Amino acid sequence: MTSQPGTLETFQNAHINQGGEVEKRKAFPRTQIPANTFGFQETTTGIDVFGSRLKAWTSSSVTVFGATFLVTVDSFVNYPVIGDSITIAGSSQAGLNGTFIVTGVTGNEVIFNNVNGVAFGSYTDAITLSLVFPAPISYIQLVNPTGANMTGVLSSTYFNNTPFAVTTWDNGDVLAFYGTEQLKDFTTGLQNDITPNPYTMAEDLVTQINATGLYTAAITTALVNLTVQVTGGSAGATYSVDYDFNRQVVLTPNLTTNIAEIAIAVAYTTSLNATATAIAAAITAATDSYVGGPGTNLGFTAVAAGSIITITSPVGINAGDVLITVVTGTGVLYVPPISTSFSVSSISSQSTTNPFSVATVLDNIGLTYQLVSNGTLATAPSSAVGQVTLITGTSNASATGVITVSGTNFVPNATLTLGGTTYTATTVLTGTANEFLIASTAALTLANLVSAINASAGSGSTYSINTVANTSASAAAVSGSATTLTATKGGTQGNTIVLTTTSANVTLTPFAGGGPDTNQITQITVGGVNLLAAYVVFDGTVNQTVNDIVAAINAFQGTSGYTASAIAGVISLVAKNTGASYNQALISVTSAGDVCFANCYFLVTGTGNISGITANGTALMTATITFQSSGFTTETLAGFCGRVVANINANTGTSKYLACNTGNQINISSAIVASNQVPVDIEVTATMSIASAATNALAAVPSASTVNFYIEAVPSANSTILYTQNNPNSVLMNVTGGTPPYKYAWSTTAQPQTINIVGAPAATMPVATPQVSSIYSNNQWWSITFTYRAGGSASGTQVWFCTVTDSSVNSSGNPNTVIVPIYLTYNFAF
Amino acid sequence: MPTNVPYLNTTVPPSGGANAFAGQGQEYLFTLTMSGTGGEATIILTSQTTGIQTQIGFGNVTGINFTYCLTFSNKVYGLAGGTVYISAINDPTTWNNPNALGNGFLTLSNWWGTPETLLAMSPYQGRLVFFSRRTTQIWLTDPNLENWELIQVLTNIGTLAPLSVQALGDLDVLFLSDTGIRSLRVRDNTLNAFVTDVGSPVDTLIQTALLAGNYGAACSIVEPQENRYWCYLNGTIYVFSFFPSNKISAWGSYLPTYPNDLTASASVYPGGGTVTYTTVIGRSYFLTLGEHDHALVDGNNSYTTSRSFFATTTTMVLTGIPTDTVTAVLEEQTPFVPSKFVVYSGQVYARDTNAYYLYGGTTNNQFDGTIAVAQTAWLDLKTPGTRKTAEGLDSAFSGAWQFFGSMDWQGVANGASLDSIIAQPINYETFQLGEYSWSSDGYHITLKANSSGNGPCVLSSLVFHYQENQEK
Repeated sequence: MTSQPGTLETFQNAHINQGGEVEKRKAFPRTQIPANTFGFQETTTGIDVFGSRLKAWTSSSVTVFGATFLVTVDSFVNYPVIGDSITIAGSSQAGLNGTFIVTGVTGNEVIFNNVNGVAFGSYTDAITLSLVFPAPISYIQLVNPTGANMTGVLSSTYFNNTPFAVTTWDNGDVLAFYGTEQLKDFTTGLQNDITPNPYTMAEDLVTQINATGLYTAAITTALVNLTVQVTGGSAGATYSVDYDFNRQVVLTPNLTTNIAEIAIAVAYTTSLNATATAIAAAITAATDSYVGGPGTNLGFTAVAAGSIITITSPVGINAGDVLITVVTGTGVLYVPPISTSFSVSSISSQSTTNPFSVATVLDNIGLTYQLVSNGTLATAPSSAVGQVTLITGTSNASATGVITVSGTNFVPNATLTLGGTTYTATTVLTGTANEFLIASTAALTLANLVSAINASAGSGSTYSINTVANTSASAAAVSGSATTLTATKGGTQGNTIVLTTTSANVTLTPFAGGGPDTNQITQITVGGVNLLAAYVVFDGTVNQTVNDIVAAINAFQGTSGYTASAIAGVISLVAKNTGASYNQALISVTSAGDVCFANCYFLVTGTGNISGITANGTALMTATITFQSSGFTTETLAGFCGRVVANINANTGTSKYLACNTGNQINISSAIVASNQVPVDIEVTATMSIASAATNALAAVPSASTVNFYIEAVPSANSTILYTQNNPNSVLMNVTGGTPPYKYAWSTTAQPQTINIVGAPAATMPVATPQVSSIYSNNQWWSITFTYRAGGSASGTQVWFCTVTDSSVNSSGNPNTVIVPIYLTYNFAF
Repeated sequence: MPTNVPYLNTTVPPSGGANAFAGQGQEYLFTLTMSGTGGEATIILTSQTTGIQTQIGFGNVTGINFTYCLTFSNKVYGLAGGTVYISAINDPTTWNNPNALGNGFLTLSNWWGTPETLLAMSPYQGRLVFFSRRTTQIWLTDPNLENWELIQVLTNIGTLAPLSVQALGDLDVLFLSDTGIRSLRVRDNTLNAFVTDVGSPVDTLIQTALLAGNYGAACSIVEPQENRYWCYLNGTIYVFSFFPSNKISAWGSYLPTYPNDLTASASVYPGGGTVTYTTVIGRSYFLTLGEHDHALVDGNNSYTTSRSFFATTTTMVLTGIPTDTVTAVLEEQTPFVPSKFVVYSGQVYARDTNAYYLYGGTTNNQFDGTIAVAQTAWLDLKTPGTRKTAEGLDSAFSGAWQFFGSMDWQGVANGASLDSIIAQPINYETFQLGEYSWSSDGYHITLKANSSGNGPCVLSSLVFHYQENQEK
């Protein structure tokens, strides 16, 4: 157009293009969208519309009538509507699968035109019906928790690939959604109850608090006080107070309805106060007026103070269950309950009380709060620890083998394997471990091999310097052309020690003769659970045997649930799972042969015999054993004691006791030592001299699970088990590791005792509560005094605890600490 | 006398095992009282070990119903009353959390004396502009609400239709106000909307349309292909073409109609050889005649060739060969009412109740039989006192057009029709082929061009030839 601006008076369905020309607009072709959808929100993948209607249905019933077919959908609400485009799938009739337009709907029966001419009939296929939305339209189905239907979208936007929509509903709700998630921030805290009251509000707040997961809350009481205030009226006016509440069963068990009602009508009397008093009396006396009700008093009590009537509901009825209406003749006044209470507490973590502070924002609502209780610290769980102590034992017979050489000497590189070690003959020692030097003769070379096996004299000259003693066996000095090998460990296990050679001049006699495994720890049980997969033989020494037991227990921990550790002869048994349920579980140790777990021994001297030993009256011996101190069968005291032990052990099956001797000391022990065993009274009848020795107090057991450093606490060598009245005994706390000096805090759950610190400075510490000592160094002696009343007798075991703290500062800013239980056994007779 | 020998049982049953104790937190007792029939309570619990605040009860948006929401700068904003609410950063589900960064609200009505309900908002030059009916506030926002800064308050200008607010990039915002369509940029720079605002040429039309009410349902969009601003208001889409480099700033209009092929009274011509269509007077139709069809009669008009036209009757009669199928297609431009426009994949989609309308169709180049109409005002050709004698008309265009004209403004004002300069739509230009002759005379002239057909139509040039007579 070659015209001035404003030239055009009418300009319709066209626009001016960039060349200044008049250009007709393009078309707006129409595409149907299913009804009852709302909004129009562009996204990166299409355009979203929203609604509450279903978008898919299922059905198992299709009936073809001829020109139409009818599908009965399974849904009971939100059926398809006329005009919907529906895709049907899953029908056995091909002509019923596809996309069809809904032509009629009656209830959940949906009618389509039979455009494909499917034959008349009823079909019970499991079919699906899907509402068709034309691309690029996507349908977002939103759900109102009340079941209401969506009526529109107020506004929408798009955030992070998800629509945000504010929607309206036919029940008046306005709900915001992000995707399909209804945003609780817009509704949480709302009470749409037409008669809100503090109780329902408190319930709502409690629900919100508990939903945080950080705090817990609960309504504190079910007893609700209600107050009605009479504020007006005139002579002749009539007040009535109605109560409707959910019936409690205890009140009206005979009613078939769950609603009860009491109603009173009180005429205005001389004053408001007098009227209030009359109303209160009527309320207290009111009975159920519900038609068909029992007419019993429902338990409300009312008291008037001035014009204020305070009504107390029966226990078990909540404010939310009560509706009060006060009718004055001209209208109904709702009077809510005045107040209700709820409590809030924080959920503490394992390490803190997590206290909190409170701030409030209030509008027309009063809220007060008060601190009810401070928090308490969380504590970590711990494992129960028990113990058994191996006192003494005797090894079983060891297996032996023999190496014999002929007159021919070893040749270089000839080898001999003993257990897991292979020894190599050589003419020049290279420093490689387990070489032995070829000497001038076969016997001398064999002697060098013996030195190598024992790692005895000759290191670096007759055998290589890096050689260590063989762990399986030792070798005797060469006798002639042979040496005898003895298994390091006694018992049948030595019979399987590997003994092979490549040297042609060597003849080997395999290991044999070990055992039998008579002296063994047969089983250890805690609470009936076996800790050993197989017996453990006594292995030379107490310490070695204890180590073997610990290894066996730990190897079986996956089955038993217990681990073990040992200090000296004391084995600590630790439950792998924490908790108090393991405390006081029965510990039982079964042993056989010369293995003693009970600590009982005496020394035999002089001459004569031992005619009997009894344990709680049970005879352990079957004959009198006489010491052969002279004559042809002269024996040593050790030999004599060995015969006594043999006699006792031969009778173990009957007596259930066994014994072991070391020199002239005889140890006695029950074959099954259990933690619930009754005290045992051992009596020895002899013409020889019998000296009963004091028994050491039990060793203390470090609580290994809590130590950051190692503290060894052992009893003193001369502390005694037999505590007598007012007789102090001592324990030596031998602490190593950590950072000295240490502090000691003693306590016990036993009845108050007295503990004396022996050493400078001396002090006496009562132990009713844990008491902390001054700082002391290592190897601290502690004297423990029992102060039982005089007369009578007592026996048992007490647990004392010594908390040892060092002077370090660990990563948590605290010193290292270990709690050492000390088990003190006493047996008083006074 | 037997010798007693002490016997010590060395087994010690397990002890020291302890269950975990979770501890007990601090506990408060709350007592709620209510003197009236309602109110609000908000409780904030602050952990003294973590500092985390937990808000219980009535929150920022509890019970709030947004009337408008917008995504801007990794947050969602919502308007309700005189307050803007902001979600937490990158979390549009969080609005009440005192621990979350960014969420909160600001009551904008507190920043200007006359409280007004906020209706819409839009990004604008890195800021946010909030529209009320008669006030517009421009804010510089910040993740911390305390740092929001009110940049400018524009009084006596606002919007009455939330969906009419459209940002043109980040530099301008167009919106429907009580006086017409306005540009925020112009207002911001000059504070004078009356003579320079882009909407001024159509102010009269807009103000007339506003009188019909329902202006709150107006909606707009920026068509992405050539960045035209569309604003739908009461039956018309007002279209603003703005190409500064070509010095083009022009308004046009679209009628929101979609092509709707009507169904004849019968699909086969009966013995009389006529079928009918039910039509609406004033709507445009596009007729395509087939091999069995003779003519379509619309009142006094009879169309024997395919063409576009405006209906003059409610029943049109189509004649054809008896017993043959009806092969004609009569496409009606049926109105629809856009409730919202969106742009997806570079095209404008409009929605009404149960349908959407895609401008340009799936090819983005689909045309229909709608009739584009361009008519000049009464022009004096700068010699209002000189009588002119028309001689002819030249035009350059594509597609098919029909031209009308008149030099008798008084007659037209009294109901006379314009002269058909060309009896039928033509599809060729005249500069090469010779002008169309037209005999008329008068002091003023109006010319009108109607497009025809269902293809694209562009009118490039229209030249009126006339002879000046003596001055009056």
